[in-house]
Formats: sequence, structure tokens, C-alpha cells
Amino acid sequence: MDVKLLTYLFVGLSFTLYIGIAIWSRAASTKEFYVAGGHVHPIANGMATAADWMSAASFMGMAGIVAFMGYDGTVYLMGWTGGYVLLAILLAPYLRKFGQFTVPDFIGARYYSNTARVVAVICLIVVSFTYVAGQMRGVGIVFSQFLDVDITLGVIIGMAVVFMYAVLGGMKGITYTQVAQYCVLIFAYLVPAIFISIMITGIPVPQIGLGADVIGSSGVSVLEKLDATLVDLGFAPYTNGTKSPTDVFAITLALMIGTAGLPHVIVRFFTVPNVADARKSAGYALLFIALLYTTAPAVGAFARLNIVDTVHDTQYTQMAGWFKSWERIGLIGWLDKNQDGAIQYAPGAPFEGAPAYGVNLGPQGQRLVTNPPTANANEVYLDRDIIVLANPEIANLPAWVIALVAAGGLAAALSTAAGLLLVISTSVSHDLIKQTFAHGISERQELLYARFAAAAAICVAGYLGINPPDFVAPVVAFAFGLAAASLFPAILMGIFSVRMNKEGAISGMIVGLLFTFVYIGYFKFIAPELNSPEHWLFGISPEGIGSIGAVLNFSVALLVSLAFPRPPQSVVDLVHHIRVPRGAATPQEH
Amino acid sequence: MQLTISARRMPTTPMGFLSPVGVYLPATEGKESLLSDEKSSGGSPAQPRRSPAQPNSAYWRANLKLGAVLLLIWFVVSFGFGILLVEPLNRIAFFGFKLGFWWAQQGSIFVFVVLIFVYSALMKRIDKRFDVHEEEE
Repeated sequence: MDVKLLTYLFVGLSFTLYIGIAIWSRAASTKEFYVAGGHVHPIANGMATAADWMSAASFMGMAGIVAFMGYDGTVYLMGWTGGYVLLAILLAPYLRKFGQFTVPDFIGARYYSNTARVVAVICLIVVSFTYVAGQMRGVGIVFSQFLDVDITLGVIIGMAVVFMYAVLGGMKGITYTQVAQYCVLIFAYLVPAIFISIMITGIPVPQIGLGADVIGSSGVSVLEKLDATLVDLGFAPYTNGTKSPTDVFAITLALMIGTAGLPHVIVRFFTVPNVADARKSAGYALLFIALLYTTAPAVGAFARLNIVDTVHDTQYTQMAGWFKSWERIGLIGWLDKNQDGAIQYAPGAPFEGAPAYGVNLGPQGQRLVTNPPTANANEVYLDRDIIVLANPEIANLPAWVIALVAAGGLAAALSTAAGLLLVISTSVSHDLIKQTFAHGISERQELLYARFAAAAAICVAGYLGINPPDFVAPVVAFAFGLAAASLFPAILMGIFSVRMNKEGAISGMIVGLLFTFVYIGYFKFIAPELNSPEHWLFGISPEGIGSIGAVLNFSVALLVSLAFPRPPQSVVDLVHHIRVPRGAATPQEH
Repeated sequence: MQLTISARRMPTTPMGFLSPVGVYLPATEGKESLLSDEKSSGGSPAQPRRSPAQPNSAYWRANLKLGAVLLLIWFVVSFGFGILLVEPLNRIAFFGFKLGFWWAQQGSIFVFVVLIFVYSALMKRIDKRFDVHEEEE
């Protein structure tokens, strides 16, 4: 069977499965809608958390980032896993004991203030929508590349599927769908990685293959060969970094505490039966995530090696089909600067910006790029996001593997989108409508509002996916920076400091949020030409500034809190209540 | 699955459990209980102000100590080996890797997973020792 037919088959089967689960697990109460009834098994919750967390960016982007950044890609590998240690030790068990539905719930109750709650809702919505836009773009890429479907139609199909299980099933539907999606995505990720590891090193475990010798090279390891090959072409060695250690430190820290402060991840720990399960579940979640995250560096290194081998100094007319099919949708571009008909791969951007194509084809049949060329020798533009999707084709793997990867990419994008949409709709229906504006509404009304909010959020996300704003990539820095600088410190102090009062927490959140917002906004939007190390504060890039924002948040909160009275006794009791596990197993019923 | 001990059931209004009734920790007498040094397990409003660590002092201290040790390891393997010491470690070969690079892209992540499971297991033991563990289902 050909690739397209197989892809339709795999994607169709997986979608049928997701919708089947949605119908089986319809939510009947707000508790089921918000936290899946509160009795999800820790292993199931671990898988669901992993699928929730690993987005299109992890599935498609991670290996590509590492492939092109080498050691510098470390910030994402450690940053997006190390946060789970913070989450498990510092937040998850206590928030589970608290036993409510949302992160703003905790902030609002702990800081006895609706202002604090609304600030938390604002942080949550900004963070979550930023993320959703990226997921929908991922869905669009997979559909247009593998199924020859228009990006718009692809996004609409994705929206319809998410709509089915998020609006009907709420957290319950999402949880069990995510378990299935995790299985699909990890299988789809590991199978090609194992194939390629065997082809390059003869070892079926990619994590070991990365350190093994290349077949037929008499004792040269994959990384040694990669370093040597890249240095020959004028690149920096793969295993050395180009960023300053300060910046690497700051970015890693910001991503870690950002991860621990992300509402859609935290809320997953509300779904397990008790505190011990919340701790264990964080371990399973990271184990399932680590399976992909330790494979990604191997996939990245193998892919970079394969790309150099197959692309550099190859005549365009001899080039394999994958190169041309990605060129067709605009994620690869080739500008024959020296007019020799061969593709030269070298450091630097081949031309300015993303490829823009003229109407005519070039002498070799390539799409003619109209961007102004740069002075370096590089002739080829490769979008980082295609590495994982193109990898099986680059390595000439069987058609079913390619189809599997397409289904896996969709699983990753849809599972994260659904999780995000749920926290958005929950915070609107529960935190804004029920807790802030319309206290008296009934359970049924609240559930209806939650479904409306989910449907509205899906439409906004779909719109953003079809018309991706130019700033999708830069705002990812926003999501983590803001979560790190606003939510994480407020939650942490709420648990570990009895003395912290609402004045301290609110001013801390606002200062952290504003500082991070202004810093990122300044370098990404107002003065992007100044976005270079010599202009940065302490040499920290906008991606890493969330860590300074968090430090500011802590400092301001501690100072301000001293000037105001202690929190009331009921809050002191609440803090003591969440610090001990006993009593969490009796969930709140409506 | 759910327990039905109604005395421990959380009140239904979201803010309700803030009311100073003994929804948490029915303190068990005689044992090394968290609240045994307190005048009342319910935290009645008339009670004098306490400093943060007091009520569950021994349990909370054990908890903080374990967390601090694990987070120290967390910091050393990631920020230490993977970032600050990566250059010197890279001079050491580790199978086909440079050691610093291996810690940054593989080793630290393995340690993170182990840390959480160790935390989970040890906390379970600490919970039992101070008799604040959750009821078996």
C-alpha cells in the first residue's frame, strides 16, 4: 500500500479510537468535567500527563531543535523534564490535598482574595492560548504534508475531533483519550528511532546508539563523526555550546519553573485519588516523558548526520523525493547561489527570512526562491520542525512507519490542545463565572457554561491555527516566562510560607508578570534589532528572563508581606491542612 | 474507591473548608502526632498565633529535609554537571560520549525520574512514621 493510503488508515483508526473513548466516558457532573471524578489511576494519569505535556513542539520540534543546536538544545531537554522534579516535590502533593478544581481556585483561597484569583486567571489564559495556537499549526502541517488536505480543512478536522471529546467528556474524556494518545505517540516516536539507530550503529536502543560507533567506521562514535563532519563544513562542533553558560543556566531554570507553573499540567494532579498517588503519578509522568526526551537527542543526531550525508553536494535533480515534497509546502528552500546545480550545505541562513517563492521553476525544476540571498555559502533552508516527520523518509524507512509518524504527530498535537482548552474553559466557567460573577449558579448551569467555554475556546484556537499570527514562535517564550514569573512563586509561597499574605502575593505576581512581559515584549516586538547578548540584562536572553522574573516575584512578595498583617487564622489552618496527606482521599462532591 | 467517612468529607462550598472545623487531621492521641503539641487539633480562632513551622513541626521538618536533599541532587546533576561543569567533564570520555554532554542530554533526565520515585517512596514512609498517611482503601 502506498504512504497516503496507509496514513489515511492509521489516522482514521486513531481518530475512531479517540471518539469511541469520548462517547464511552461522557462527563455527567462538574467534578467529572473538571477533574475526571478524582479517581484516575496514577499510571493512567502519568500517561495522560505525558500526552498532555508533550505537544506538537515536543514530538516534531524537539529532535529538530537538538539536531540543529547540538549541545545548546540541552536547555529544552533538561528544562522541560527537570520541572517535574519541582512539581513533584514542591507543588503536586499539596495541591492535590487542597482538592479543588483549578489553579486560580488555590490562589484565590490561599490568598483570600478575588483579585488574586483574577490575576491567576489572566496568567492562565495568556499562557494557555499561546500554547494552543502552536498545536493547531502542528495539526495543519501534518494534514497538509501527509494527507494532501488543505491546512484550513486539516485544522477544522482537528477542531471537530477535539470538540467531540473535550466538550462531551471534559477532563474525564480527555484523560482516557490522552492515555490512548500517549500510546500512539510514543510508539510512533520510538519505532523510526529504533530503525534508524540500527541502520547507523547496529544497536536497537537509540539512547545507547547515540554513544555507539558508526557501522563501518572503525571505532568512530556517532557524536565524534558528527563533530568532525560539521567542523569540516564550517559549523561549530555539535557537542559544544555557542550560548553563554549564564544564558543556558537562566533558560533552563526558566523552563523548569515555567513547566512546574503551567496550569494544564498542575491540574492533572487534581485527578488522582490521593496525595501519595499524586507523588507517584508525577514519577510515572516523567518516566513516560523521559522515554521520548532521551530518545530525541539520538533522533536529532542521527537526523543531522543523515541530512549532511544526503543533502550536501548532491545534484538537485538526483535529490530524494522527501526534499521536494517538503519544498512543495514551503518548509525547505534551495537557492543555487553558485549555479552548479548541486546543493551546498553550510553555516548561516541561506537567504533572509522564510522562503518566498516565485511563480516559475528554476533550471533544475526547483521552486525559485525570491528572498535576497546572504553572503555565505549555504544554499539550503531547512525548517527545524520537519526533522521528525521527514526522518523516516530521509532514512528510507517503510511506508507504514511514515504513516505511523503522521498519526503520532496528530496525537501529540491534539492531546495537548485538548488539555489546554479544558483549563481555559474551566477557568472561565468555574473561576470567573461561578466564583467571581455569578455565585448562585447551579451545578447544571456551571457544566453548561463549561461546555460553552470549551466550544468557544476551540473556535479561537482553530482561528489562530488557520491564521497563525507571525508572533507564534516568539510568544512561546512568553508562556514559560510568565508561568515562571507569576504562578509558580505564588503557589510555592502559598504552601511553604504561612506568613505570606495577599498583599505580598499579589504584588509579587504583578511585578514578576510585568517585568517579564516588558522585557520579552521589548526585545521581541519593540526593538528586535537590539536582541543580542550585549544588550541583555546580565546577558540573559528573553527566553531565560522568566527566572529573573521569578526571583523578583519572590523578593517583592517577601518584602511587601512584612508591611501588612498576617493572613487570617482560617488561611493558616488551610496551609497546615494541605501540608499533611491524610484526608485527601475523601473528594469533594457537588 | 471512595471513602465514605463522612466526618472527613470536605465541605461542599469551595471556601467552606476554610472554616475552622477539624476537617484535617483527626489527631491520634499518644502517637508522635503532628498536632499533639497544639492546644487543639481544630485550630479554633481563639488560639494564639503560631509560627509557621510549629504545628506539624517534626513531620514538616522531615519533609523539608528530604525535599532539600533531593533538590540538591537535582541541582548538581542538571545545573552542575550539565551546565556549569560541562567543559571539564567533556574532557572525560564516557563510552562514545563526552561526559558533560551525556549528563546534559541523557544522564540528568534519568536521575530526575529516579528522584521522583525515591521521593514518593520515602515520603510514604515518613507519612506512616508520623501517622499522617492516607487511609488504605
